[in-house]
Amino acid sequence: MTGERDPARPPGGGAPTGAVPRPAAPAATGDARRPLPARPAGLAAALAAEAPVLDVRNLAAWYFTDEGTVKAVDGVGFKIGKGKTLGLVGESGCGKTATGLAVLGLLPPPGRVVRGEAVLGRRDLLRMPEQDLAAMRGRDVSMIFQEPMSALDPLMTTGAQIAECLEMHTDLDRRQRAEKAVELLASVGVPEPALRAKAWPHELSGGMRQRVVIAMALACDPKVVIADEPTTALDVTVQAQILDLIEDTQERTGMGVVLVTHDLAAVAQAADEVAVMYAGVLVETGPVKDVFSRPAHPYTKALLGSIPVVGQADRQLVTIPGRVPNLARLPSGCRFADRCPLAEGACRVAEPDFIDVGAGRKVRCILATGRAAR
Amino acid sequence: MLHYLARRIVSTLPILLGVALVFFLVFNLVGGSERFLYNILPPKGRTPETINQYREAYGLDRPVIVQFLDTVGDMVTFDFGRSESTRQKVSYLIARYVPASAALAVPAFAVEIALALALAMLCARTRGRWPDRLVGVLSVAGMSLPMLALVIIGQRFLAFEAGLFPISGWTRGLGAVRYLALPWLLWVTVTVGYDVRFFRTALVEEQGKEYVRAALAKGMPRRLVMRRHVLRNALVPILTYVVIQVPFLLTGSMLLERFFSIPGIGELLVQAILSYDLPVMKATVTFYTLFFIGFSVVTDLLYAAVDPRVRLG
Ligand SMILES: Nc1ncnc2c1ncn2[C@@H]1O[C@H](COP(=O)(O)OP(=O)(O)OP(=O)(O)O)[C@@H](O)[C@H]1O
Ligand code: SF4
Ligand SMILES: [Mg+2]
Repeated sequence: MTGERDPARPPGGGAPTGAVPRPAAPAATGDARRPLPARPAGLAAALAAEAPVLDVRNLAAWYFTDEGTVKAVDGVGFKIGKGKTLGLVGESGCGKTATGLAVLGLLPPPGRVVRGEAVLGRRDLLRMPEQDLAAMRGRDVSMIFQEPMSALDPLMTTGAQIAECLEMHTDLDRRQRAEKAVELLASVGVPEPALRAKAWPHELSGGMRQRVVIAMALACDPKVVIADEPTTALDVTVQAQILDLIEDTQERTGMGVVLVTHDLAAVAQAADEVAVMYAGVLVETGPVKDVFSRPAHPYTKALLGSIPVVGQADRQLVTIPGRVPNLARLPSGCRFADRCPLAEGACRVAEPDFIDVGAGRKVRCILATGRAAR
Repeated sequence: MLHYLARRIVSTLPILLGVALVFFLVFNLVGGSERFLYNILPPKGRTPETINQYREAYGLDRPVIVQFLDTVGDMVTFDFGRSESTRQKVSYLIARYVPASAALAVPAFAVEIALALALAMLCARTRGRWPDRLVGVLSVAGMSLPMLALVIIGQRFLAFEAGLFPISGWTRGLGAVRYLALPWLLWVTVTVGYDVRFFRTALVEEQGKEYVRAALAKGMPRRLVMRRHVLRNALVPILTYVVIQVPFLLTGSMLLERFFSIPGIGELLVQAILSYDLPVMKATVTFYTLFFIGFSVVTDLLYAAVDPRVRLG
């Protein structure tokens, strides 16, 4: 995370500030660095150490429904460094889950990835034969699902479900896998793990189930895990425990995390970078502290409660019915224009570009980035 | 599990009692009334004396409560006396007619379900693409053909004109396969479409569940997830469906037995009804009832084997 000030950032009200000068030192993450350029040896080593474990570029994933094309993800890019956490926030239905599923190649039909790349270990997950991708799922990239109640097969013991991951990616025999599953349960803080390994999902509480789901996702030490609202269904004390658990694992294994959540407090606590998503696109990214202390995009500000917007709540995001644009029939200009208190004529002409404003930050708003930059 | 089995069997007792009550109402109170017998007996025997003799022979003149207990006793011991028309012991008749019914129904039903499951799995895996669509169209086509029309078409064109099968008939032993081939074929053709559509829905529903994604996210190949997770979970609604099919299984086999002269229980019942052979009617209907109850107990055990929540609940 960079602690740099960005002098060109607009103050709270978001008045246009014109072109933004790039900071002298490039930010550690989040900018548009090219892959594999020729660099001086010392710098190359330094950069390689922080080369992103997952680099998603210009990802678009659409659902081709009978009612039209739902552009659930429409050009999303982000990078996650080793051991880093990216908070992905946005209202319900803005395409967060679709982003995660697309990266894993698990979009259900009629969903399809239409463009973009997701580079992990120099290989593009989106252009890989299903067989190869299956071999990488669980081992290199993994996902923790939104609903702990439904993410476990009700007809299989928890231990067996964890062991399945080991069956796919290790040479352990059946007994060793069962033992490892118990160890994994212990490592995610499940009391009496040997007993719980033999339990059925319906015999466990929500918090326990989510721990099992996490143990399952982390069983083979993936390089990246997409945690899709891992705490939404749980009560507050358990929420904090689960976040701590993910953070501990991260410290141990250096895994990168995409933390999808509605909970801005959780992002503030656990994430290094934040990506704010609105109606299928990212509208603002940057280091959490900077973005939260000085949000640049009107939507981010609305989320943070610094300016009023219809139906706005405090720290938790709230769905505002009928307000989020229909992803099958997007407006021509800025997607946020209908709800933006600062919208003006120019906003509706063309979709604003996602402009680098320095200090590792990017914003998609003509007022925040200045018309000159476009 | 044993405990569950015991409980399940005990819970069928009220059902059996209810069946006995209906039985008693139909066969003793209504079927045994003078008025009914007057209408049903052949004109020659329609004298008050013969009617009284008949009522005496079947104990219909005894007090109601005795008759009822007697009915229950008959059902429990499966002893309904001798056939009116052949004077053979009814239990012997049933035992003689069961094998043909089983030979028709068991393989046909097994093939029907297995084929439907295989096709439904194919559909679910290729959802929306051509194999799915093709199977979908064929299923609807199969469903829209009535069994009766198919029987006529099959006997006329496949058996009579093309000579691929005997038109009808029966023999003991393995040779019966020759006679059973066409009815089996017709059976599967008529039923498999319904099954495929239902099974496909059940599988697709399970496929959309989050645990399926979670299994895939672990790195499991799709085929394995299909077999290990999706199919097992879909088995619960599929078993329910299969139990609901049993009455159709019985009527369907009755129809086929009739058309193809297969000496099965259905045929026995039809004959008994046509000749008003009371003991045989009682015995066949009791047999059907017990078969149905037995089938649902077995299904419940399968449920319990598949789903841990059932075992506990
Ligand atoms: N199977 C599907 N078919 C068609 N549209 C879908 C399908 N699944 C999701 N969508 C649409 O795609 C959009 C993005 O959905 P997604 O689940 O990614 O949202 P989300 O940001 O994860 O929301 P939430 O916070 O509620 O989980 C939504 O508008 C949704 O209606
Ligand atoms: S570009 Fe969009 S977000 Fe920015 S001021 Fe205009 S309407 Fe608001
Ligand atoms: Mg979601």
